Amino acid sequence: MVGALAATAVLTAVLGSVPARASIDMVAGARGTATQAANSACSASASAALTTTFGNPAIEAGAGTGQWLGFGADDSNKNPTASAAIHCYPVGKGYVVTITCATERAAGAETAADLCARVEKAFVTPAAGFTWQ
Amino acid sequence: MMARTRLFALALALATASLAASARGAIDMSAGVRYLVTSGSLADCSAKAKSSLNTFLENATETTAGSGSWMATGPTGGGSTAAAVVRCVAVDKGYVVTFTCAAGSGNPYSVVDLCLDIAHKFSGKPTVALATPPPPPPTPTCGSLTNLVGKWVDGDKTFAMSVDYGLTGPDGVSGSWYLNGTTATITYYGDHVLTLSADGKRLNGRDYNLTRKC
Repeated sequence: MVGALAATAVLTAVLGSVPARASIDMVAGARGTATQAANSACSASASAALTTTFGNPAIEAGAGTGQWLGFGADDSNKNPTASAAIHCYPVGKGYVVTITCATERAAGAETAADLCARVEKAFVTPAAGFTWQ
Repeated sequence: MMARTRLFALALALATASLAASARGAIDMSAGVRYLVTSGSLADCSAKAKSSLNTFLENATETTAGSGSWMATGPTGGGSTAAAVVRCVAVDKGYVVTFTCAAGSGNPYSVVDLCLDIAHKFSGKPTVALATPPPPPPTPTCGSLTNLVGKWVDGDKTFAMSVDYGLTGPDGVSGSWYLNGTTATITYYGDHVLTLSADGKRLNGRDYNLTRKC
């Protein structure tokens, strides 16, 4: 009995470590332009949008860079199966923001385009002077 | 290259930040490189974006004509475990260009290395060789012990495994397969681990018992 349990544990560990080859879906999502808003406002919206979308805290790729990453739900190996990046860049008195998304292609999985649409919807834009392209 | 073309470029290479901000997993993403080129057209940016993407990936295409957003997938030679997006945005007399890369598990090289190479190619800096992608599985032969390419059946369900590690299930939904020794991982509505028989004609596991259709 103990031997069987040990063998099962070993087998589970071995099988669990087998890497699956994940095909990915990536999309260049929306790009927005704010004419009168600080880049820090873009960063705040980016962080909030990614955190809301994924339910995990967003990560800034270097403090103050305005480049944000979010990672989504984990697979059975506790690895994320979706992610999105938001780039904020100051232009004039406003900023440019871009959203880029990637998901693992799997049966029933959300597409990168759908994910990007959710991130875009969660991104709080300035009251005026903002357009998505 | 930028000096030669007299573009006054301010480069913000954030490789270290990018390293810190990437995560290993089913999806790995890097978003840590950005350049501001103070003198240059959007067309220049697009041309370099396409060229740099095609150096390391395949089929770089502009997502919408004239948008300045370019995407390519790879690795080269076939596959879809890696992709990158280069986005050019006109700013004053120049442009900002961002590089975002993603890779799925099983991709042969680091997503951070991929993004740095694409960015460095764009800016004319030295690049490093990425890991060589593994060769595609050999031509399918019934009973092969080295790949799962071909059709497999479980009762009235038929699964088609392709040479690029893709899978199409009985309902037309796509997934993927991977074989490590005699252990196969089928990703189709979740991950399923199966064992390939000694003659290469059966895949048995908790969720499926597949027989190779010869």
